[in-house]
Formats: sequence, C-alpha cells, structure tokens
Amino acid sequence: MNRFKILQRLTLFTLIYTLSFLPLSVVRGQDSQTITAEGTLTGNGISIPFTMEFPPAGGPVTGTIDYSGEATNGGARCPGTLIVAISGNFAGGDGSVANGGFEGTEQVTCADKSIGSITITYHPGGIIDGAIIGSGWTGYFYANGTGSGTMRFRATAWDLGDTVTWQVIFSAAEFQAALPVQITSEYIFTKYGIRVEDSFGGDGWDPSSWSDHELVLLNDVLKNLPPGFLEQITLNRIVRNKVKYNPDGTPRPGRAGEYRSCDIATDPDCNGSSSTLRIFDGAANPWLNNDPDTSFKAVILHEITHAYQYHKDKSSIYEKATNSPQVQDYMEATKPINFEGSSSLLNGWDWSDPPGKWEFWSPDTNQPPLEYGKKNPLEDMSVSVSYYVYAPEELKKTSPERYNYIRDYIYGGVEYENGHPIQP
Amino acid sequence: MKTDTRSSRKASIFLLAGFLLLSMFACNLPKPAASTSGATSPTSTNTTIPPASGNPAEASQCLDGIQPGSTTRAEALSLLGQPAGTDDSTSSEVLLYASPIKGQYNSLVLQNETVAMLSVVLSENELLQWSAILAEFGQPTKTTFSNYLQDAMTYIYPEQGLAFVADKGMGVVFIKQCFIPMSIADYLKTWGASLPTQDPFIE
Repeated sequence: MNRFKILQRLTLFTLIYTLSFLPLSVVRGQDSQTITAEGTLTGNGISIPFTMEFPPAGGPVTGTIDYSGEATNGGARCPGTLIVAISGNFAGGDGSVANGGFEGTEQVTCADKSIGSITITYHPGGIIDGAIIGSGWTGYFYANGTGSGTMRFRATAWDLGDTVTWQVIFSAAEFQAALPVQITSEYIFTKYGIRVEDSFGGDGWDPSSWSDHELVLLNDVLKNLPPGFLEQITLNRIVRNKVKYNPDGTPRPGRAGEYRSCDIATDPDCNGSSSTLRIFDGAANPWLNNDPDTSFKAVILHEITHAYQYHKDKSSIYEKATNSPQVQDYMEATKPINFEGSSSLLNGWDWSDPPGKWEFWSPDTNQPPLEYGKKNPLEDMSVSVSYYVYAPEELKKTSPERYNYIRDYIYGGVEYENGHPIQP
Repeated sequence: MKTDTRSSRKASIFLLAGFLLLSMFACNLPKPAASTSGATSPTSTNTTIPPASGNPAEASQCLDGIQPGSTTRAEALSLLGQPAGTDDSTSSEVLLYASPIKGQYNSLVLQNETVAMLSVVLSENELLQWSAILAEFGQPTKTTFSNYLQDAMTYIYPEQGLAFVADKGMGVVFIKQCFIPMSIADYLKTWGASLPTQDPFIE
C-alpha cells in the first residue's frame, strides 16, 4: 500500500460500528439529578474510553471522548489525540432512548513525514470539514446500571470498522433514586410502615379518597421528618375522611384532622394497633401561609405530633398524654423564667376546675404561635411543631423557647426552610 | 387569681396521714335523694360511710374522707393539709392541691365553710375506666364537651353528685368531680356553667 493511500485513509477514515464488551469501571453519581457513566466505544477490536452524564429522569446528555493513543490505521503507528464532546437528550426512565450528536477534534502526528500532522474537526451532526459523514449516536439507558447503543462517526487515526457500538455502566442505585417516584398508599406503607386508607362509608364516615396530589403532600411530610422520629410515634394508619361528626350527628366542618391513640373496641389493651390519624377536607383550608398545600401538610404534621405525645414504646401508649415525658418536658421548657408575678401556680400551663380550662401564664414574648395552641399543652406543642417546620421565622418571633426546645429535643438539631430540612 | 402558699410538702404529709386515718372508716356519698333548689347549699342527707376500699379510683369517691355538703373546711385542711394555692377568681373559696400530674390541680370549692364541690385529676395509674362508670351509674343524664382534651367529653350524673371528664373511645377517665347532688338544671347554672356547648377543638 503506498503512502498516498495511507494518507488517504488517514484523512478520510471515520469511526464505524463494532460490537464488543469490555470490563468497565462504575463512576460515582454526581448529584441527585444527574449521574455519570463510563464506557467504551468499540469497533473492529479497538476500544476507546469515554464518559457520559445524563439525568435518569430525562433531560440533556453530555459526554466526552478524551483519548490519546497510538493511531493504528493503515499500519502506521502515529500518536494521536481524539477530543470529542458528546451532546444529546435522554427521554428518562428505565429503558428509554437517548440520542444526539458530537463535535470535536482529532489530531494525529506521524513520524512518517509523508503523513505528517493532520487535524480533523468534527462538527455537530458528523460533518467533517464540509463532508457529511454520519448522524450522531443513539442508544438506551437501563435501571440495572447499563447503557448501550451505536455511533456513527469516523476517526481517521483509528479504524474502528463499519460498526461502532458504545456501552457504559453506572450506579443502578443512583439511577433508581433519581427517578420520579409515583406516590401510592403502597409506596408509603412500604417506605414508612404506615397504612394509608380511604374511607368507604358504612363505618360511620362519609366515603372519601386520597387524591394523587394529597398522597404527594403526605409523602413530603413523612420524608422530611427528622431521622428516627418515626420510631418515636404511635401511628398505625392515616385515613382520609370528609368531615368529623358530633355525637348528635351534626357535622364539624371546622375540624381539619384528629389523632386517636386507641379505640378500645378493637384494641382493648391500647397497644397502638388501633392508633389512627384522620385528615378531613378542612385540612386544605389555607390557614398557614395562605397556601392550601402548606396548610394540608401542617395539619398532618400537627396530628403526627400528637402521635409522638402519646407514644410510650412499640406496644403501649400513655393513656393520659399530659403525663407523658414528652409533654411534661415541653411544658417545663416553655415555662417563662422570672415571669413577673409568677409562682408555681402562675407559671406556664396549668389546669384546675374552676375555671375548668387550661391556662397559660406567660408574657407575650413567650406564647404559642397560634390561638389554637392556647387550648392545652398538647395543642400548643402540635401547633408549634407545625410552625417549626412550615413557618419557622414566625415561631422564632412568638416563642424562641418553643423554637429552641423543638430544635434541640424533638428534631435533633435539624432546622427547616420552606418545609424542608436545611442541609448542614 | 391563683396564689402559691408553698406548703406542698406539708400537704403531702397531711394527705398521707389522712388516708391512713380514714382507712379505719367507711364512707359513702349521699344517695340520690331529693335535689336541692340551690346547689350552693349543703344537702342534709342520711349518709352512711361505705366500707374502706383503699382504692381512691372508685367511681363513687373523689377523695377519701371528703364529702361534699358535709366535710368542713377545717376537716378538709386537717385531712389534706395546706393547699398549694387558692383561686380567688370566683365568689367561693377555692383550695388547690397538686394532683399526680404536674401542672394539674385538684380543687376544693368551699361555701359557708363546707366543701361544696371537689374536682380530682386522675393519674396515669388510676384504674377507673369508663366501662366501670357505665356499669355503676348507667348512661349519664347529660353529655357535653370539655376543654380538657380533644375528644374528651363531660358526662354528668347530677343526682348522684358526680361528673366525669372522659374519652369514651379510649375508655379513659381523666377527671372526676363530686358535688352536692342537684338537678341537671342547677348543675348547668353552677359547676357546669363554663362547660363548652360546642366542640372547642375546632382548628
């Protein structure tokens, strides 16, 4: 073969298709949205490594071929570099298609002066210096941590043959974690161990169902609880109901939710198996931040806090939650210090009859954040916890004592912004 | 306004002594006889002291040795000691004693130097169940709401001189109130005047 033909091949060759598989290394995921994969382009027994980055939920794909090696085409042994930027799009999800193009440069410097040094520029769409060579790349990414496909571009210095394939591997766990999850009652039970139920009527309650959106809100509350908190509550199920009824059968539309630690009809030992949280239509009334979604979540968290107040251990509850250590410690912590005129009976929460109601003795600078929180110490704590997560700045103003206690003794130091934990 | 007399330790000693002393006696609350026209006057009834039960949680007793309508102020102080505080927000004298649950007080309301009403907070260990009350007294004359806890209700037996704050669904009794037997109308004008008639726990 004369030198001209070698040069011709060197200047005209493109990367073509091959199929092979080589052990590849897994690379780390970068963030919760985009993960990185490593792989090789293979053809005609030649493998060139490359990387790709893509969002498992769908979106732009990028990649890089940054390879330096001995060019093998035409028997010449010339050092060459291949730098190509890959771009494209992934449809998202397990087994979905990805495709795109690439651009870059190839430079080969041969000791053989008849070949010399050449630079090939690859343009998007596979156009090489005005010549249309190929149409890019295509393939699929899978939840098992693999991806594969084909490429249509040519490199002059490496003869990859007529068929070039690509294969990558990445973290399957990171891929699955980044996928949008459909929130169902089954998902919540599997993840948190709490049954989520609709109401079908015939049990004294009107029929009512969780909407998809409400399940997302419920999941948002549960997933943002502080670590270990679920082990400190007694809660078997969460039921969606329309409205609470009075004993005389009249509705109470103002009731947004309720928590019942025990129903002796089904759980005579009060071991927690009947503990039920009910969410009513009134939970979506926009009482907090003027936002129905925030209000809905705040009601759920309010009732979950009651489940915390009654919790004794895995199989028993405090039947009188005002006597639980959780509530007693909270009452002690929110007592005012050096309250003018205070005595043991005029300091913090107390109950007596007359007047037959709870009273909270404290200055205006240390009060529950909502009027409803002044009903009794249980409601005080539940309202304050809701504010801690969904309106923390408001709670800091109305009662730094409540904010600090909840942060340090209930939430383990985790603070919140816009309903989500602030990452340290 | 409630005030603090700082005598809780003396009160505990007197209370213990009172229980020991009264274990020698049996007492009973008055049977539902003719109701009085004014609930503020002590009722003169033929009462017998029931056998000592040793169990302060029995439905028919509020505090051993304290009988509305007959126990005098002096007798009450002798049994219970000095109160932890008083409440002068009403026209009657109200003595407050620490209950088993911190932050909650048992109260004795005195009229004409005699105990007219007492309200007792039951501890976590009290064994009084709603089913026992139903078994002994039947259905209450009237049921209404309570400010105590969400879903707690007030169950009133005015002619037995009893009222209970309880959660029927949980079967738990939180508070028992003993008073001179009277009509339900009189009760709602007096000891029950501040009871909510609608659910106070509307969010």
